[in-house]
Amino acid sequence: MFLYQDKVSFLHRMHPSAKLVGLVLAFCHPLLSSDPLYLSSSLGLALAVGALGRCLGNYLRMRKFLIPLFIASVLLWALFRRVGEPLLMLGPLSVSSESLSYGLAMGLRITSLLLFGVAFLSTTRIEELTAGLEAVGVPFKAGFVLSLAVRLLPTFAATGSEIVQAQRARGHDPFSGGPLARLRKAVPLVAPILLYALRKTDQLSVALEARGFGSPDRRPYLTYRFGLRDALALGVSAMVLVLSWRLRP
Amino acid sequence: MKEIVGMWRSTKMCALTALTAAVYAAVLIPFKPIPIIPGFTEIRPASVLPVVCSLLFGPAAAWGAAFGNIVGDLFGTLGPGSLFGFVGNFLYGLLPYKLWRALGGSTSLRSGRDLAVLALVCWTSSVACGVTIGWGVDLLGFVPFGALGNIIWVNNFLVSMVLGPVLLRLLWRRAERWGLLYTQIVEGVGRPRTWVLGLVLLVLGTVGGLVLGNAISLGVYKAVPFAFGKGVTGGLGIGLGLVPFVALTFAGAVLL
Repeated sequence: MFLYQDKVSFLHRMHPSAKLVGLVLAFCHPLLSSDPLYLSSSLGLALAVGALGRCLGNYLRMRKFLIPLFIASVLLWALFRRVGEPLLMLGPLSVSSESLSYGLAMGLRITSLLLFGVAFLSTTRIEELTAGLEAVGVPFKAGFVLSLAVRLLPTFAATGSEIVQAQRARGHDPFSGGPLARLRKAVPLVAPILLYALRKTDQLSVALEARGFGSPDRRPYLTYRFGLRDALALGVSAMVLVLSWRLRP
Repeated sequence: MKEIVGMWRSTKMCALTALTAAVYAAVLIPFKPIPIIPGFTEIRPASVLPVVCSLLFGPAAAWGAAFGNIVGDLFGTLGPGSLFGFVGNFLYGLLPYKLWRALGGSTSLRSGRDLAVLALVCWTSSVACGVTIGWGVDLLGFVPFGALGNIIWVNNFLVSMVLGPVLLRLLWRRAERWGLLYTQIVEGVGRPRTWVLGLVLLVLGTVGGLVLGNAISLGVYKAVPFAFGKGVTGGLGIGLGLVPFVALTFAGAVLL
């Protein structure tokens, strides 16, 4: 269900907050220019980061999602961006060689950005993400709620699947008919999940309070140390970004 | 507005936030959504949840919708766009209960007036969400505003209007009986004195943002009197042109 892969790599060993800051720096790289050649280098950088985190397998897993996304981005920008001499007119929309080139650049940009995200998710546990968020200033309760939601997700997803199976066994097929009919058929599926969640609320709040949730005296099980390796990794990332900014077309 | 921050002091509201986020992300999975723009959006019944949860759980649903969207992104779509997704979904979960409170909707949802108020609530929240996400994603160069902004608001509005009334009738009384309505948990959540100004700013922000965003995106901006929005989509046209309207939307949300 999740992208995290339990492996040993440089990225896996990094401090969560260093990984978060590194992710932000990596996100900046494809946003510096709209040139297709420059953005190809962003894609190359994303592949290098994937190799560093030993998560190229996850990149491959994502191809069924990333390839249609790339194509959609190229086509949409080619149609919506009005620059240059139109080669093709479709009502208020037109396609030119410049808009196609821009579309290609934007396709490369979004693919690179998402690959950076996949590398981060493949090498970071949810508890590390929470610790990293807290280390960069996000309030503990907000980070905890995010982590709790991720932990609860498989339970609700399983409940959702069970409800779908149970309704199907009664002859209710939620996946047949047109979009509107399918929407209406969602009521007998969404309502039980929501009721299940409502029932859980009291149990969950009692369980949280019993474990000292909200107490100012916190003693976390997991602690992380920001080391020289993290500082070096961030320094190199910042240098790559500055160089890219200076050399960008 | 102080309940947005103040709710974090209540463990029950924190639990409701986590549950809303988990349910929002989980409902997407068994429904095999129909992609509209691959990777960007699809027809998703889960879009009804921020509205329904907002009317029941108030500010917990706003945070829950925002976190739920991030949780969804943790399955492979984490990127700079997640920030705008967070803000857009936060508004989508925040505005319904604020508008409902301001316009005095009742919990029975039987009268034509209640359904009209619900329609206005759903439309405004959907457009605020669509404009915010469409603006951010266009600014980053992912997808043109004219494509994504419209798809988001139409999808959210349609889904919440078709499923919302039925789900609310089923859940409202139960949530009230179990003491889970935000009005039963958080104190001082009455209608603020500034609600009329908030409503006016919100409507100006959402309608203006939607009209101008589409005008710039589809290249008819020369026909509208917004010179500051001049430009092309994917450049700074949408980015700069929509800033005043996004700001009005936020100001309206604060004052409501």
